[in-house]
Amino acid sequence: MLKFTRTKHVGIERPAKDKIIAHGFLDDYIYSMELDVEFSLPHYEITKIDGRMKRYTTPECPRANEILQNAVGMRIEPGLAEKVKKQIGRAGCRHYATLLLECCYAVISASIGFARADLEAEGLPADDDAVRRRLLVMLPSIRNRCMMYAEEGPLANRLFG
Amino acid sequence: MVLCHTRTKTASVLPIADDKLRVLNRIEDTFFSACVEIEVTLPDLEVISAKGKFERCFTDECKAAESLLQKAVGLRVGSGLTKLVDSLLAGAQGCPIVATLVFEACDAVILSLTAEQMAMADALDEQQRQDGFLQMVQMNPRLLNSCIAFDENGPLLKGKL
Repeated sequence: MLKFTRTKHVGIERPAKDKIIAHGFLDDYIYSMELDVEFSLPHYEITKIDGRMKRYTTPECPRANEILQNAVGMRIEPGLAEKVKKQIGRAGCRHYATLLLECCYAVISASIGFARADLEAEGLPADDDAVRRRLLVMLPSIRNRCMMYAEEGPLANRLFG
Repeated sequence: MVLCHTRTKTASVLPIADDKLRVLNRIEDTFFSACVEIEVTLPDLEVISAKGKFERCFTDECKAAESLLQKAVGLRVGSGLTKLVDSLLAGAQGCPIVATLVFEACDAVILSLTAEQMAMADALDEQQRQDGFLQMVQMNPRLLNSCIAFDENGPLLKGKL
């Protein structure tokens, strides 16, 4: 018999070329909560955030809803995880922090699709390498974030020579 | 509005012996599908095995990240884990998806133990629960100031420690 399960789900909409909305949901044996996060492009900056706790442990936990406003102005860039853990997690709720980071990581992944869509809309080639090049322009912070986008890695050599 | 991207993650903790837990953490994202499985001993919380698979990814070379998992063997679930996982599995020689899946799997172990404690607290009245939270902080000082509920100047703990 399972002892514990945690599920996180993020759905992403792009209502305008310069706006992304992430809806995050976290549910486990102890906690259940939701976040709505708006990002503006091109800086991937959080412009709006709202959260609801449905299941929590102490009567103090819902006070963390107000603390979420600390996230407004944060950008997807190096140092984000530390900021979120401190300003949303320690100051408010670490499970909100976990869910907010999941929303941000999902936005990074979704940007692969945005890069392709933008290239197609501009009438430019949208093969996989063209998408990767555009992604690095949209989100320069992913450079060196993993072995594939390492400056000295095989992919960077192929993309940039 | 139609979603343009989704990401779902599920971490499940299964006892496989009196002294051993197996954790499966899976990500299903528009561009990535992967899973990580670790086994952790009780009560010392040491990771004794780690394996995983990238089933689908935007860049085929990402599958090389599967081999990183061996570095997780020997880790102990406890303080300092975030930095250890980051240094071993993330960064320009690593993979943030694998690192996060491993960290979440370890976090699920802790949460599964917390869920056991919280289940016992369900039978208590409000005062007894508050006393229980105080006891938790006294037994685990790392909880102090770890979130808004355990703020040393908050309603739950002020003047009680």
